[in-house]
Parts: sequence; C-alpha cells; structure tokens
Amino acid sequence: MMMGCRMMTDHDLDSLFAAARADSPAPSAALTARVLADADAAMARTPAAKIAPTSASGAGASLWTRLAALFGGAGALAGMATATVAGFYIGFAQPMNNGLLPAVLGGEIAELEMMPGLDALLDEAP
Amino acid sequence: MARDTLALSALDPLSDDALLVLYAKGDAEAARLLTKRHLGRVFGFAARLLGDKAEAEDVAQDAMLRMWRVAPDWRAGEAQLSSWLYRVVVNLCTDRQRSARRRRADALDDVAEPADDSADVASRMMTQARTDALQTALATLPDRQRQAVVLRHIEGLSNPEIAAILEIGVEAVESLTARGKRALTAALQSQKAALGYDDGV
Repeated sequence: MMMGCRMMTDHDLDSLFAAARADSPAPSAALTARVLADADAAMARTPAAKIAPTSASGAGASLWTRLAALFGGAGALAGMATATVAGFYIGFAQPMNNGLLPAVLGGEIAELEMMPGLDALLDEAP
Repeated sequence: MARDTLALSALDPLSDDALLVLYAKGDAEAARLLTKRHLGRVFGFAARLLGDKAEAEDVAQDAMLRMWRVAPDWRAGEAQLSSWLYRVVVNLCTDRQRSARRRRADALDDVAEPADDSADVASRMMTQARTDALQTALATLPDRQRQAVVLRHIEGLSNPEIAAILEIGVEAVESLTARGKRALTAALQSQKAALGYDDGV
C-alpha cells in the first residue's frame, strides 16, 4: 500500500544513518568479562608473557616502568639513553688537533681542508 | 559492571601498537584498555552486519580473541588495529551468513514460505524506532553491500579505508555503497510514513 507520493530522499536516509550511529548497541558486562578472561588465558600461553617481569605489569606499575618494558626493560632503556647522549656529544664536539691523525697516516699534514673554499670556484671563472 | 572494569588508566595516552606490545609482555591493564577501546565498535559492527545480538557477541568475542593471539606477532605501523578488527569481523560474519544460508537451503523443503509477511512487517514497523527499520532494511542487502554501507555510513570510514578492509578497489566500494543506498531507499519507501518521512515533512 502506498502511503504518500514523496519518495525517500538521500537526506531521509542520512537521518536514519545518524539515528543508527547515535543508537549503537553496547557490549554487555558479561561479554566484556568473557573477552577479558580470553585475554588472560591467551596471555598465559604467550612465551614472552611468561618471562616478562611482573613488576612492569602489576596494577601499581607506573607508566615509566611500562614504557621501559616496551623497550626491553630499564637496562635497555638506559643503554639507549647513553647511546643517544654519546651520539649527541660526538656530533657537536670539535675534532682535537693532537697530532694523532698525521702519526697514523705516516706523514705530516700542513693543511687539512674539510670543505672546498669559495676561492677555488672564483679562480675557475672564464 | 563493565564500566568499572574499564575505568581510566595511566596507559590511556599510549597507542594501540604500544598496548599490544605491553599485552604481549604480560600487562593485563593493556588488555583492559584495548578492550575498552575496541570491543564496543567490534560488537556494534557485528550486530549491524548480523542483525542478531547473540551472534554478534560470539563474533565480537572471537575477533577479540584473534587480537590477543596475534599480539606477540603484531607488526607496529603496518596496519591500524581498528581496520584489522573490522576485516576480521567482516570475515567472521561472512562465514556465519554462508553457513546460515546453507542451513536454510537444507531446510527449505520442510518450511512453508509465509503467504505474505509484508503486512506483518509493516505493522511491526509502526511501533519500531527508525534504527530498527534501518536494521531490517540492511538485512535485505547482499553481504558486500551491507558491509560497505555500514562501514561508510554508520561507522564513518572513508572509501579508501573500506577498500582496504574489504580488499577491493575504491571504485568498487563506491559502487557497492551507491547500490546499497538505492536498495535501502527502495526497501524503506513503503514505510516512510511510519518513519516520519511522509509528505510535507
């Protein structure tokens, strides 16, 4: 039975979609409990979880402790920090002129040019 | 209560990838937070595709279980966890719907077709909310059209995201959603007065 002449429009359909979005079915507490029980059971079967330090996963563990666990523990994180500081220092420190390099190369170097100067380019101008 | 179980956590700022690593290392709170972030979406999507909450609960639990199992091998940055879960739900629902169709086909000879159930459906629609009407109409769509329409217009995903989830091209997604919307419009046309879309509205 026809109940009117006007056809349903895209706008009508969009309003139905909006109503559906607003009325999204929520999982029950029982489903949530089953999912968390599955998580516990699956975790117990994971080799990494068996050897993981429990202090990093306890309820009272801090975010820092957990982040450390992400990278393999506090020791690994400390190693990464040391490497970062060392890299930073090497990048910024001036090379020392202590005569070691010429000695290694077996001769005396009067001048060491790390970058070509502008003069060389100007000299080649026609 | 689920809300208490899934209360705010110090891990809230962490990404899904980081939470999966923590879970794989034995962090139970990471599991709670991943559940809080994804179970609602997974269950809601499954319910839209299947139109049955009990079956949707089974699919949601199964999808989340697959996530727990894949956590130790999860490769961070390769895929979004939400997209991966959508794909798992699509596959699980497709399998269930195929099985259900086979069972219905087997039993077809024994069950008489209703003489005319449109009047019954129409009268039921008089008292149902718009979302129920939409759900009923969605159930009439072919599986792929329903998946594309729900992902696009209810879950709010972009066409490229849907293409990745359904493992098809973007043009195919556009075609599926366009045909799906036309079919929904046709399915809902006879009920538009009951849904408040009568003349002059």
